[in-house]
Amino acid sequence: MSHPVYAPSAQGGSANLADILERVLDKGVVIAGDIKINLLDIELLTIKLRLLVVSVDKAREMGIDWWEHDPSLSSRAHTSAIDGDQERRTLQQENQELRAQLEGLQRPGREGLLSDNAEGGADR
Amino acid sequence: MTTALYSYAVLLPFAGQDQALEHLQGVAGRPVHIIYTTGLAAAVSDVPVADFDTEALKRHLEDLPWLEATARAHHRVVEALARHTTVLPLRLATIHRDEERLAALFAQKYQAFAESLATLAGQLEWGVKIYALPARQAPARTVAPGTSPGKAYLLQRRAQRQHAESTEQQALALADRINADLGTLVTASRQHRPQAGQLAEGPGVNVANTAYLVHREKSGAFASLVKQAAAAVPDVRVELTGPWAPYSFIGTGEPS
Repeated sequence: MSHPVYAPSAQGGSANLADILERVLDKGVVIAGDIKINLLDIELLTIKLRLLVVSVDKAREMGIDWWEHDPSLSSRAHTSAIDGDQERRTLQQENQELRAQLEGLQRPGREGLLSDNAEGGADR
Repeated sequence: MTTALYSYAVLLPFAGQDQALEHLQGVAGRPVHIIYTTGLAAAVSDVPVADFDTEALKRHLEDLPWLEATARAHHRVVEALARHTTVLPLRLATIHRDEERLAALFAQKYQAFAESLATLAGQLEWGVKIYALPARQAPARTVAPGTSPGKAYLLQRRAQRQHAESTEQQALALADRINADLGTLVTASRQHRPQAGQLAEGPGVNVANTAYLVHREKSGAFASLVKQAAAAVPDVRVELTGPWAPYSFIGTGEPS
């Protein structure tokens, strides 16, 4: 059993990373930002951190637009209108590949890698 | 350097906040300052766009040391502010182009923010994680003379499994009992997912991971009660963390 702390300042920087991540990634006020964070799914991130094998690239899905379309902020803005379709296709393809990889990992034999986290999370 | 605004929290302005923020290091090692919007304030840092645009974030999120440093910095700022005033922590990486955008969005949310801040005044969040400890040694079984080694092994395995199951049941029962005993000491509670995997520290299987919202003045009694309940049960480990800013008690208000 750990030592409980009572003073608001007692925790300091020592809090465990899992406790911090489950709060700062999964909780907290969500307001419309110019980069959307709602797809930063803690569970996927945690699975990924465990496996360190599959790139579950949720960040790719972040609903960003202004960085890409504001010419003063991004050199890509000039080309994105032209490259948009091409880029989307590439992303879709990569997404499919990642899903296939993930499924491969979930098949019997490798199941143990994922099951603790996925099921443990769903049960409660 | 082109910068964007990284926001940590919405808060009620407080006396002495300049001193409180003076030596505080935010994400990316940036200083923290306050922006005033309609009746409220936001704690923010100017961060380089190059490190916080989509491309950079995508890369950084793959990078545990970066994620850890950023999450800890975010938490450090929220925690420092929570010592002085009521805060609504924002989710990691809430980023706006400039002050005008931020102020406009905050203005839309003013009512909800003000209500949440009023509800959470004086309240602290505590975490209680309950672990079933691994069977150190299943209770020794006396094996009848003449039992084959194979059968003795299976009996031993079965005893271990039963012991582990009963330890988890005890841990779950303790979680229920703590919940019931806390009664009116707590304002609200939320179940988090039990922690597992690489980031879950310490021995044992985490069977319950609960956040409690407790008034500052009741926090001492709350902690004592949790400790007492924990001490009464063998093979169970209870970890009390906090106080946290009320991360788990804002937003939709639905139990998670």
